[in-house]
Amino acid sequence: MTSSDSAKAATPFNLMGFLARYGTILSLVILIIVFSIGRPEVFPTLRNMFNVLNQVSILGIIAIGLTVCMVVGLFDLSIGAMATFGGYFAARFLAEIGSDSVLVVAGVMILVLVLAMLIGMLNGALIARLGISPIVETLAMSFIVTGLILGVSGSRTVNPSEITMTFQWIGQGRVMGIPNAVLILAATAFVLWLFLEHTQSGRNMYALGGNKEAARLSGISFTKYALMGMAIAAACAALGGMVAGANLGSGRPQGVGETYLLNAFVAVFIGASTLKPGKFHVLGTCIGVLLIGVINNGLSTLGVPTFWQYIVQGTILILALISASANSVRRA
Amino acid sequence: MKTTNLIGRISLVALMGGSILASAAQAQDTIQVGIVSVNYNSPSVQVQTDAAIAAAEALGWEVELFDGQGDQVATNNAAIAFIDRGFDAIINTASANPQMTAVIAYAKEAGIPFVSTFSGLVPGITADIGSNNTADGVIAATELVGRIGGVGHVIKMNWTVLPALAERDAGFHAVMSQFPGITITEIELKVPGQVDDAYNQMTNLMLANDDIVAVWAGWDEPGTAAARAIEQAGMSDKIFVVSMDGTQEALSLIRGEGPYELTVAYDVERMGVTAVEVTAAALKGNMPGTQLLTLRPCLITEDTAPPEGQPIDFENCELFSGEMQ
Amino acid sequence: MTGTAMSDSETGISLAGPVLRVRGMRKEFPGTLALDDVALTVRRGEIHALLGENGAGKSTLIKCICGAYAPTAGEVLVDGRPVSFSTPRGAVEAGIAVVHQHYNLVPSLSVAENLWLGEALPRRLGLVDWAAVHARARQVLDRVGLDIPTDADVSTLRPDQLAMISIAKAVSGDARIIILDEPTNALLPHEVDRLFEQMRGLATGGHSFLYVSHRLAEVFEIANRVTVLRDGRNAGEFGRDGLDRRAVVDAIVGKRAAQVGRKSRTHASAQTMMQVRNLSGPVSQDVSFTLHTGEIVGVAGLPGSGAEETLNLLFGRLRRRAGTVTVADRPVDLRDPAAAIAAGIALVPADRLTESMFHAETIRANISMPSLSKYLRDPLLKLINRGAEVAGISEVATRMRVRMPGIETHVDDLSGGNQQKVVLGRWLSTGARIFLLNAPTAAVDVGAKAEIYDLIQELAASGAGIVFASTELEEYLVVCDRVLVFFQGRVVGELAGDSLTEGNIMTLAAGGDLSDDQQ
Repeated sequence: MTSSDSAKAATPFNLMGFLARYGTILSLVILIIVFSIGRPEVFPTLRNMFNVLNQVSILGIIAIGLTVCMVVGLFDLSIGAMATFGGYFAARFLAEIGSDSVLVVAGVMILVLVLAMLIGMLNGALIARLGISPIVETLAMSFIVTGLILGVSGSRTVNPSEITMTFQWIGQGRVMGIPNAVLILAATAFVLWLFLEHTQSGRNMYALGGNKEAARLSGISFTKYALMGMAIAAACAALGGMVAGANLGSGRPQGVGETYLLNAFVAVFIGASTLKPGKFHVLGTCIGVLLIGVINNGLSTLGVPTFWQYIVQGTILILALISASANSVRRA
Repeated sequence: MKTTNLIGRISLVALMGGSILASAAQAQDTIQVGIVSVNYNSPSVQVQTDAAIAAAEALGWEVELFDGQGDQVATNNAAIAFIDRGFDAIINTASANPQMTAVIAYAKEAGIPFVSTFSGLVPGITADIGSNNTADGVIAATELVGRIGGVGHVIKMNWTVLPALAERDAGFHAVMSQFPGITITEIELKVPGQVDDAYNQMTNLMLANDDIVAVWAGWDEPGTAAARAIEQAGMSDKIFVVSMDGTQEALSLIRGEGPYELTVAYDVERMGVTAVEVTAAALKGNMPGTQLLTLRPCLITEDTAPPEGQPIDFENCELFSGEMQ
Repeated sequence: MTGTAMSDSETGISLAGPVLRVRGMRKEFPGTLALDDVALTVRRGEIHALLGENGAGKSTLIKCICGAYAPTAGEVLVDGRPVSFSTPRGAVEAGIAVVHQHYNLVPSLSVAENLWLGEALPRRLGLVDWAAVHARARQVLDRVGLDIPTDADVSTLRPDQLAMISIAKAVSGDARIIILDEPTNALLPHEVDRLFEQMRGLATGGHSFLYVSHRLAEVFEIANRVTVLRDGRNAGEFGRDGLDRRAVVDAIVGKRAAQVGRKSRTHASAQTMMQVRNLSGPVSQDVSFTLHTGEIVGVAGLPGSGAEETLNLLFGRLRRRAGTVTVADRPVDLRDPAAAIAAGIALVPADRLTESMFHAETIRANISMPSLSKYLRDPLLKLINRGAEVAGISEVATRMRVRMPGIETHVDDLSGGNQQKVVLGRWLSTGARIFLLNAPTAAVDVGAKAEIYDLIQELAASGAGIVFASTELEEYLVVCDRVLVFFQGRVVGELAGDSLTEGNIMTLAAGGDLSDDQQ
C-alpha cells in the first residue's frame, strides 16, 4: 500500500506502461481467480498446482533454452526436431544397452545432451560464419534431424517394455513430493537465469541482441555467443524431449517436439512483454509458460471444449503483444 | 504462324502416340502398380503398405511407392502421375478417399482399378479394405458398459476430424444412448500433440472428478497415454481404458497389470495383402461383390493378448458379440 | 570548362526568367531556428549550386521547397505563382523533383521497372504490357541521352548511371526543376565528368538544377550561380563572373572562425603513444602520423575522403590493406575491435543510436559492457560481482558528469548529450589510452557540447592520446592541436597554429591548394 502510494506521488500513473510490464501477470492472476471460483474444490489445490507445473515442465525446459538463443538475437525452429531427437535417442540407446544402472542412464543422457549441443553449435557456426538466415538454417536443420531419427528408427517407436525403470523414474518419480520433471524445470530455469543475468557471457549475449554492431565495437564476438546460444537452445530442447520420453515411457520417432515448438515461441514472446518490455528473459518466459499451463488446465477442469483453449490462448498472446508494442510506441 | 502450329500439333500427337506405345509395350511385360500413402511414417500404415508391397512383388508385379509425408495434395498428384505413366492399378493405403475423388475419377476414366485400405467408401473406387469403424466403436463401448454395469462417469477422448474416428464415435454414442445411468465427459484432443494432450487432460480430469470409472479412447495412441496417466495417479484399480487399433504399445499394456483393459485390434497386415488380391482379381475382370470389404477384427484382452513378440492370431481369435464375419 | 557551356550559361542568365523563387523562408524547430528569412532564385536553364556547412540549413531549405516540411513563414513561387505543397507529391506535380544521395532506386528491379516505379503500369488484356513499358523507358532514357538497355538490372550499373537514371526519372515526370542532393558523393572523377556533361545538355534544353554539394571544385566547374547559406541565413550569392574560391569559402565559414574559443593550451608531450605508418584501406592511402601522449590530432575531410575510414582502420573495424601501427613501440595486429581494445584503443562511433547504444539497457549495463571482466567474482563461471560493478560504474558516471536519476535508469530515457557521455565513459574503465572520437558531439545540444569538449581536454590532460573527427569544421579549432586533412584517400596537408582555420581545412578538403588561396 505504502509503496504504491509513494510511486503515485513520484510520477503520474501510466496505465499503458503498467500494462506493458504487469499485463501478463495480471491476466495470470485473473485467470487463477476465475478458475478457483469456477472449481474451488479442484483448481486451487496444492495437488493441482503441482499438476500444472508438471504439465508445463517439458514446455518450460524447451522455452527457457529458446529464450537464451533469442537473447542473442537468433531464432531456432529446430527445437521441435531436437526434442524428438533427445527423447528418441535416449530411449533407443538405453533400450540397446539394456542396463538399468543409474550411472548408465546418466551417461546416456549426458551423451545425448552433448550430441544436441554439437548440432546446436553447427547451427550457430552456419548462421554466424556464413551469415545465413537463422530461420531458414534451423528449419533446414530440423528436416535433417527429423530425417535422421526416422531413418535410424525405421519409424518404429521404442516401447515402454524396452525402457528401463530408472529412465522412466526421471519423468514419473517424485523427490520429497515434488515431481521430478518440475525439479528439472526449476533447475534449468535457475541455472539459465543465473547465466543470463549474472555472468559476463549472459550480459554479452544481451549486448549482441540489443545492438550487434555496438557489441562488436565493444570487442564481443558474435560467433562465439551464437554458438553458445544455439547450443543451449538445442540442449534444452533435447532435455525437454528426454523428460517427455521418460514421462510417457516411450521413445517416439515423431510427433514429440512439434507440439512444443509453437508453444515455446508463444511463451517466449509473452515473456518479452512481461516485467522488462522488449527483452527476452527467463523469468518472463516462465510466466508465459505458466500462463499457457493455467489456461489449458483451468479450462479442462472447468470442462470447457478444446476449441476454447485455442481461442483463449491466442487472445492472450495478442493482448500481450499489443501491450508490448504500446510500450515501444510510448518510448518512441 | 499456321505452319508452326501444325508442326506443333503433329509432334504432340507423335509424342503421345509414342508414349502410349511405350507404356503398352511395358504393360505387356509386367503389371505396374502405384502405391500411394499420405503418411507412410505412421507405424500401422507402414505395416499394411509393406504387406501390400510384399504381396504384389510376390506376384511378380512392379511396385512404386509414394510417401506423401502428410501432404494430401502431393499424394493426389503422385497418383495422377502414376495413371499418366500408364500404370495398371492404384493402391491407396490409408489416405482419406473423400479427399481423393479427383484421382478416383481419373482412374475410372483410365479404366484401371483403384483399391484402398482403411480409407473410406467413396463412389467410383474398386474396393476399400478396412474395418467397420462404427461397429468397432460399438464393440469397444459395449464391452465398456458391460464392465461398469451400465452406471458411472465415462471419459470419451477422440479426434473426430478424421472420418474413421468419427464413425467410431457414432458407434460409441449409439451404445451410450441406451444407458441413462452413464455420465459422459467428451474430450476433443489437440492434434498434433495428441499423446501429451491425452496425458494432461486425463490427469486434470482425475483431479477434477473422483467418480471416473472408464475411458473410451478413439484410438490406441491417446489410449496408452491416458492409461499411463491413470497408472501414475495410482488409480489403476478404479479406472480402465478401452480403445481400438491394436498397436504394439497397447498390446504390451494390456498384457500387464495396468488399467488398459482391451482394444479392438485390426489385421492391418492382411488389409495390405487383401488389397493386392482384390487388385489382381479386378485386373482379370473379376470385380469384388461389394465395394467395402471389412476384415474381421479381434478383441484383445489380457486373456487373448498374444505373448510378447508374437503376432495376433486373427484366424482363430475368440468370438465375441461384435463378430462380423 | 568548355566554351559552349560558358556561352549557354551566359545566355541563360541574360534571357531566362526565374522558374523557382523562394522568399522570406523561415523554419522553426522546437528550440532552434533552422532557416531565417532565406531567399533563393533559380532561373530557367540554370545550374544553381547551394552551398553551406553541415547544419547551415541546406537540407531544411530543400525539404521546405519540396513539401516535406511545412515552413513557418515565407513562400515558394514556381513561374511567378505562389505554390504550397502539403506533400512531396504536390511538388512533383508542380514540376519539382528531388534526386537524393542514394537515388531512391530499387537495385533488384530493371531500369524500366525503376523508371515506372510508383506509377500504374500499362496493361493489355489485364496483364502488364511489357513492350509498352520498355518502349516508354527507352524514350525517357533517349531524352537524357543515356545508352543503357532498359532491361538491365539496376544493381549492375555504375554510380554515375544510377545518378542519371534518377535524373531521367525526374525529367520523365515533366520536372523542370531538379534538386540534386549531393549526387556525386559516390562517384569517381571520370564519372562526375560524364554526369556533368549530361546535366549541361539538359540545362541547354531548358531544365534547371539546384545542386547541393560539399565539393567546391565541382561546384566551380558546373555551376552558373551559387547561393551560400550559413547558420540558416543567406551568406552570399555569386554569379559566374564573381565566382572566386576565396570569397565563397569565406561566405561558407564566415568571420566567426576567428572568434570561437580556440584551443589555447596543449597537453601534448614529446612521448610517442601511437605510430601509424603507410596505413591503407579501401579508400585511404599511405596514411602516416604520430600521436603523442596528451595530444589531440584531428582528421578532416569530406565524406568518403578517408578521414573517417582511418578511424575505423585504427580500431580494426575494417581490415587494413597495408601499413603498420605501433602502440607504445609494440606493433599491434588490428584484426578486429577486440584486438584494438586489448591494445588500449577505444572508439566512439559516429552514429550513437545504431553503433554505440545498447537500447533497453540501463546506464550501468551500457557503461560496463566492454569492461565486465573487471567485475568478475571468479574466472571460471564469470559470475558478476554486482556490488563492485555498481561502485565502479557510479564512479565513472560521476566523473563523466552524466545527469541522471541513477545508474539503473534506462539509457533511452537520457538526452543525447548524456547518452554520449555514457558512451565515452564506457572506455574509461577498459584502460584505454588512445581514444578515436568520430563526431562525438553529433546531435547533442549546445550546453552538452561544451561539456564534452571539456571532457575531451580532461582526457588529454590525463595523458590519453586522441584522434578526433567531426562534421563541423569549427570543432577542429576548438578541440585539436593539429589537423590532418584528407582528399581522395590521402593526407594532403597538416594544419596547426595560425594556419589551422576553417577556410584552410575547407580549401584542402575540396582539393584546393593553400598557396593559391592565401596570396
